[in-house]
Amino acid sequence: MTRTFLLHSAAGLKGLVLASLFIHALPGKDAFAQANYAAFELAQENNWERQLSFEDLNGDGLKDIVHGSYQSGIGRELHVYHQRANGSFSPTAQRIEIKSEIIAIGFAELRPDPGMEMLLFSSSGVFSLSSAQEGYGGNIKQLLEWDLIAAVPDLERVQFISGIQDIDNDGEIDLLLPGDGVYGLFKGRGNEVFELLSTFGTDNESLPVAQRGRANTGLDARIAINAEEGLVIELSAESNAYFDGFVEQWGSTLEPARSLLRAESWMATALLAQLNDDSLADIAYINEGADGLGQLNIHFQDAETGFNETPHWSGSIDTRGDIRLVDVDNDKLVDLLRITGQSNDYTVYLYRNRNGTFDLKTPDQVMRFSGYDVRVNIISLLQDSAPVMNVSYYTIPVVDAIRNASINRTLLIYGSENSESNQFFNRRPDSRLDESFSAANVRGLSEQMSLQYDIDGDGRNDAIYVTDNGTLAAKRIGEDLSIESEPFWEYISTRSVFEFQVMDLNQDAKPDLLLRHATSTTILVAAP
Amino acid sequence: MTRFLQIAQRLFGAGLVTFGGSLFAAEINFDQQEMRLAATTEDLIVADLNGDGLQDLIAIVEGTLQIYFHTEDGFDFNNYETINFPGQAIGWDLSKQYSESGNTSIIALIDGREVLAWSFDGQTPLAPIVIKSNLNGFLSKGVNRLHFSRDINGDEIDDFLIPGAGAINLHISSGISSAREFEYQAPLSVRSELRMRTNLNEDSLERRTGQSVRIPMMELRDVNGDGFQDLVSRTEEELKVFIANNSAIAYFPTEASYSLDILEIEERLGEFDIDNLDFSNLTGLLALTHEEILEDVDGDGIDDLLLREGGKVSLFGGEPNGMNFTQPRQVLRSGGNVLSTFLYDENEDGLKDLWLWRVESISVGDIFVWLALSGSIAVEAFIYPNEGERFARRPSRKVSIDLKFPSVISLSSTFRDFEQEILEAGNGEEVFSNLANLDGDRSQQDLILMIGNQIRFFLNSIQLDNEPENETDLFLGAVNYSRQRDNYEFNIRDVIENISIAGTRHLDTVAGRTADSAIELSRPVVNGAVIPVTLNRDERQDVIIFTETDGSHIQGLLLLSD
Repeated sequence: MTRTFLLHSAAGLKGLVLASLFIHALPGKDAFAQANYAAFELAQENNWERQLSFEDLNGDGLKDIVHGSYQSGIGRELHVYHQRANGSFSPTAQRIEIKSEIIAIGFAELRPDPGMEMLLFSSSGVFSLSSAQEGYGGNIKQLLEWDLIAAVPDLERVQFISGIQDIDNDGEIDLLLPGDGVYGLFKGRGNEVFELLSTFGTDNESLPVAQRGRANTGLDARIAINAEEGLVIELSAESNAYFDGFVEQWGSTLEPARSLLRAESWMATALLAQLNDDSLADIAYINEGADGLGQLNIHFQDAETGFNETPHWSGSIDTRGDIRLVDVDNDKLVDLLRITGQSNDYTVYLYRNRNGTFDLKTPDQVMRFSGYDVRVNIISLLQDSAPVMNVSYYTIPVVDAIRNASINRTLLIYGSENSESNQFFNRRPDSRLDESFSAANVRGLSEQMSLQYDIDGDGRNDAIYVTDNGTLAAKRIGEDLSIESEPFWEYISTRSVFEFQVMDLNQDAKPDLLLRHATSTTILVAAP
Repeated sequence: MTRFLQIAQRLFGAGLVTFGGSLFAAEINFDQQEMRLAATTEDLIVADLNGDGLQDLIAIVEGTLQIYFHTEDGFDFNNYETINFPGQAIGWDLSKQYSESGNTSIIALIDGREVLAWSFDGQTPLAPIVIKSNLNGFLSKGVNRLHFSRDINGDEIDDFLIPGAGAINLHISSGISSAREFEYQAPLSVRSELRMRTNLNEDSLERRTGQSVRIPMMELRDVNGDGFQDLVSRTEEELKVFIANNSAIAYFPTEASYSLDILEIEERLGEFDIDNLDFSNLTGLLALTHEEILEDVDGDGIDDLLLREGGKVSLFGGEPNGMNFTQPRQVLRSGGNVLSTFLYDENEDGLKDLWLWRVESISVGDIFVWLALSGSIAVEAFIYPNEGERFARRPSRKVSIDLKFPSVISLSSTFRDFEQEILEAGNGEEVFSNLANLDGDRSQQDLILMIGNQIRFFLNSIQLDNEPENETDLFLGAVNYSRQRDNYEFNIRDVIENISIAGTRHLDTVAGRTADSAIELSRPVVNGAVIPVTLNRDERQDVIIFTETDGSHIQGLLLLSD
């Protein structure tokens, strides 16, 4: 259960002054490092649930905090903290009731009034609502009818749907909605009018229903203490079991069922991505092929007709591991990245997008890593520059573990300048950073170093990380892709930082920050 | 070569006798029949709908029920009866309550508002009758299997559990009126905890979009020893108990007989804050945990309440109509990191004793060492004997279990090997297996294996003697618990070494043994299953075997015991 406490004292001017005391813009560096922030702290008992969004609801060009809240007796509400000109937020929240039929909420500019409208998704349709008007009467407007794939609202939480966009580049917001067995593309005609343009299914219709989405392998562990068995530790391995639970023997004398109801409705996720060179976003999804392997499917967008019912291209792919669409070669088309591995043995496969098709049998580059929890990111350090590949992983040298109770974390950056023909990245890393962690600096393990953000607004991304003390710091990344040894910036918060995000909350080109702590979130807006 | 492949080779490399097309053996006889269902079949329910003692098959296909009747000649998969439900949101179940002949009826909650029942005259579906209207239920769209018909108050008349928004509404039947109408007591609405997972904002290619919903069945049991089922409602916020009164107009009171505010307990214990975490004693976090156990401590047949808050254990006495919360009967406080408590009769005096489990302190440094080296954790149970009204103030016995485990590196490598083994099992010929009672010998189970294009039967090959015979054998069975021994060791490596892949679990048992009988199929099975069921009138199980699937049909065999 989530309970929200409105914390007002940290907001406003007091927060602005307070925050500036804890910023260390370390001297001796020629680039500008932001030193003043307005801080706003939002307390949440369970801070790991993502019910937070940043949207400009009143059209002043400043993004407001939108936070999903539940209180027994009151129910679900959206709490909106409006951003002020000085980067602080309103000390009290505008409260917007979330009606019990609403399953999810998104945000888009739909009405001529300034500011984003809320899109309310129910099991049978989508509605718009403006936060500028009080209540639902005379405010809510039904945009379309659609049987959403999720039919039951969670009475304590609401989902935020992000990425609502103009899909066909005509200047109007469109909607791609998962429904009863199919996705529907609704073309926005302006003035809050939407028209169903096309539908397509993402599950493989050639497979029996009993087989779709049921293939599963893996290991299960159970640890329990109870009066029947005492201490129990069980491990089991499951292979494919398509017909698990398919047959039920009914008998009035049998034990009553353990569940009153079990209902499931799932389909392969369709992602919008630039897959061919016509500048219109296309669709990609992975379902299960008749051969038991995964199948990557691509539907190209047609500006007039939307998406075909059947894919334009399909290919078999091993779906083990993490599969991502990302532009690896800076040609504005997404390529395919697959990371697979177990234990300390990982392999990264990179497949080049050839105008909407992939040779999935022959990856264009294969890279192997020996370490635990291997993570890969493809990042452009400068806008429009050739991306680099950032790989991080852990190693556990036995001697270090025994002697110092420590493990190592390695961060590698691969550039592309010396890559071999048809490959994406250099065979050897351009830079390497090794760090050691033990009980003394365990807080530094909470999140891996990120190269995704430019903290000082100089146009070049920095290496941002959680320090051994749980503060947030940034180091510069040199032209040679090496990471400087000393940070040039540090934010010392009163609470340990576990996650962070750099955002633009007020169009001033100065990076703003979100710091997630165990039971609260701090929003730092760069102040002039 | 992996262990799985070695076993499979040993098993199937042996020159086994096969019998093409039909099955016969000295011990078992089957009538073998081909089965064909639509590929759009979502589930298959086995039930006798016309009271002839032969179980029929109900297939859920695209929002309808297709019924294949079982006759003396078996099944005809070319002919079926169809039930088309009205409405958009359907929850259906089976009940013997609504057919005049006492046969099983199909009953359905339609759009949360009314309950209809379909009965059968032979193989002919009769027009549905309305059982109850003006309900206030809520269901997701589509046709859902809903176990909503159940006798709650022990009068052998089925009652209704109707899911609503965050609640279950109980409609207890008062029987059939003189006008042949079903009558119900005033409904009782009880909060229910919906287990729900919704994913509408996925940005990962390999994850799926949609929703799963589970409503756990409510806990109905006699907590005050009067012979009638009471209602225990547990949510994250509260524990509520409704004590039944069988002689009252309403079986359950409208307000809970007693309740416990779990949110208040959690507020008292405090919340997890990483900034105040003691890294030298991570297990200190257990001080934030709580347990509520409703069980009879003093042997009067009425459940008492054992409430554990961190290391503090409070015992409240149960009464015929409630719980005495004015003052706990006993409060025990334990130092250390209390992991859990439960009640189990240790000294065999017929009264349940209190087992209080503690775990040693674990530091972040320990965890770093365990990454590379095997380790152990001491788990101790302190047993407070039950003295009748309350527990002894001091424990009479301490049971220690040394929980040994391999290093994380080693575990990770072992799991990688298992993943590889599962993968190879999937790449090679898949093995489908299940246990059944195919012959008259119930003391041992029979193993059915399907691999490639063969189905093999190993009669009485699986011994039941590994199953615990009684409660005492089950309790701490993994460490061979006895009252005479206080110190035990439990090595997780032993568990890992005995792990088996689900489809191949019993292969070791029959390795090298000749099958008692076999069926040869026309082609190898890729996506199949072996499922024992009861379909005909004898006590021996029958078998549904799925052998082949394609875009239009699911095909298989029915083996009907003869």
